[in-house]
Amino acid sequence: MAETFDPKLIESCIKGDRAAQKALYDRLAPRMFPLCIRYVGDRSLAEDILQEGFITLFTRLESYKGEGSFEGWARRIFVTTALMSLRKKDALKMSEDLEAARGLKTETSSQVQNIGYKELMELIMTLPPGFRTVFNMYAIEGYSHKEIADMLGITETTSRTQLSRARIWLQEKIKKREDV
Amino acid sequence: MSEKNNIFENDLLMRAILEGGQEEVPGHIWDAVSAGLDKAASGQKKTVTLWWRRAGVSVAAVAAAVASVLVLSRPESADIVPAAVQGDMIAVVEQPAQENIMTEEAVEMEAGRQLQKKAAGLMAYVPEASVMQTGPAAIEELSAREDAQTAAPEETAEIRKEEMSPAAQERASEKAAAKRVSDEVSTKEYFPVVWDDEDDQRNKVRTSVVVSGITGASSSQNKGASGILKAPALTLAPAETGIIEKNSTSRYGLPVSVGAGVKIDFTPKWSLGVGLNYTLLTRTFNGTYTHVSEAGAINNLVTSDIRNSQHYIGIPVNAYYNIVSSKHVNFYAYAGGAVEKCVYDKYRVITNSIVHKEPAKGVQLSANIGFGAEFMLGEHLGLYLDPSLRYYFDCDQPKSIRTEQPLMLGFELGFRFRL
Repeated sequence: MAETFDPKLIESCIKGDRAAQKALYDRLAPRMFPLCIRYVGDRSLAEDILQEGFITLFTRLESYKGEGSFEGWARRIFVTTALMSLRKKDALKMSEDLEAARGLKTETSSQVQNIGYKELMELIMTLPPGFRTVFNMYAIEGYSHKEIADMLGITETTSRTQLSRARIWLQEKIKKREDV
Repeated sequence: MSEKNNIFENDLLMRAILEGGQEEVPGHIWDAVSAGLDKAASGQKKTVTLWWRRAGVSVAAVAAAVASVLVLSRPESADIVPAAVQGDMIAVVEQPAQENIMTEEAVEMEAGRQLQKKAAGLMAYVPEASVMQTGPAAIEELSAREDAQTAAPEETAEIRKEEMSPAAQERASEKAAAKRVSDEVSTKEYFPVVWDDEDDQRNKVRTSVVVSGITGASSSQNKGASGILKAPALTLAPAETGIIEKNSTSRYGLPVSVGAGVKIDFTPKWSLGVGLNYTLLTRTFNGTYTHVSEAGAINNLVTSDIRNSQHYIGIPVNAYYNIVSSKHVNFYAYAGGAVEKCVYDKYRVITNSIVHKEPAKGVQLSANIGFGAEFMLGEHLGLYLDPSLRYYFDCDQPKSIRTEQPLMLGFELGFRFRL
């Protein structure tokens, strides 16, 4: 469930109140850090994304007009910051690493129920960057394939393909973990 | 439950698992964020440029150039060069839109913002709600959204599309319509975030306005130089008005230029400067002035010292390479050239103040290279020195210090003011 944020706190942050900014940071950072980790797959790089994302968030806080949830608005900033970092490192190539995973049937939902947060994070972090990005954006953040295609500069078909491969890959990893 | 619903349920379950997840954030991150905010705040103050300031500076620069032309081209005494000009420093005003010095960190941040802008420019839709949804209703919504999208070719054959019931179709279209509206709002709200970055980035390309003065030196400045007056007087016919240089000795005045320009920084290392300048070249020689009336009668024949003033308007272009940049001093190299046109070639017979004008054809081409240093005297003030080596090509221009000694050492010294 998304947190709600006091408009007065946000107003103080806009005015440059450092204590208010720290308070907002303390509430948001633990929730945004996992997002950064999920996208870039590396904790130290995620720290850079988190830092850059918060600087962008505070400098652009005036543009938040109160429509939609504040956390949702903040998440978009961090997602974009993460995508920029991946693009800078040329890490958004749609690789063919999951060819071997094609043809596997989708497992039942019970497989996912048996996995915890840390295990799932580790699995997502080990996805190839292109698949991980599409999976994060579609399955976790809720972007549509058209939105993903526009943001990543790929076709909707490619977005669907990468997503399905990412799912299959994850399912296989989860199944292997269960079998062990 | 269908295979598709299984997939969506997996997505939702994973989303639910990750939704409440939190990670411990290292303490140094806030310190870095705080420092970044301080830097951004100080940068914003410097980057606030008011168009009226730019306009005012530009007007002042043009007015200074025009005033210089008017002052220097008025009837003058027999002095070769005003003593006050020789070796004087002329105030140089450079008012860049942005801070001229950028640390590596700031450069990286700006590069990141540029990339942010580029990718965000591709964003056509931004989901209005990122609050994770769970539950059967969410499964149905995801299913409806998936079905609403066009079918994929054979790569996704493993995911079969189910036929939607009319009620589901209606719900899907209603939600799609609502989502489009919210996406529009979200996009409009979000685009200013990235368009601001784009505007800021555009401004941060650093455009400077420069008003400068330059004086040149040559080893043969006051020496006699052999030469023939390169003017139509060279082919002066017996019954033609003009000037003939009697001997080869000339006394050359110190060339002086004033101008205004724009310097654009394309990268932290490279920038390009373009400007408009005015140059005054003077020399004094002994010659004979002959005036022939329309009827062919010689009205005046005077042998005297004659002072020649040549007024050039030119367009200099220079490329600058920033070698070393720090808080207190910048060192750079620059190279370029100029195209100048002589707009006024005047000869004044000193004994009787007769003034004769000659037309100058063609343009003067030159090339220059040099190293410069700027010393920061404060946050907004810098003192710079730009020595350079200049070469003036033979372009059939009126005789001057440039034609006699084409390789010259130039000095530009002044102040740069930053807004």
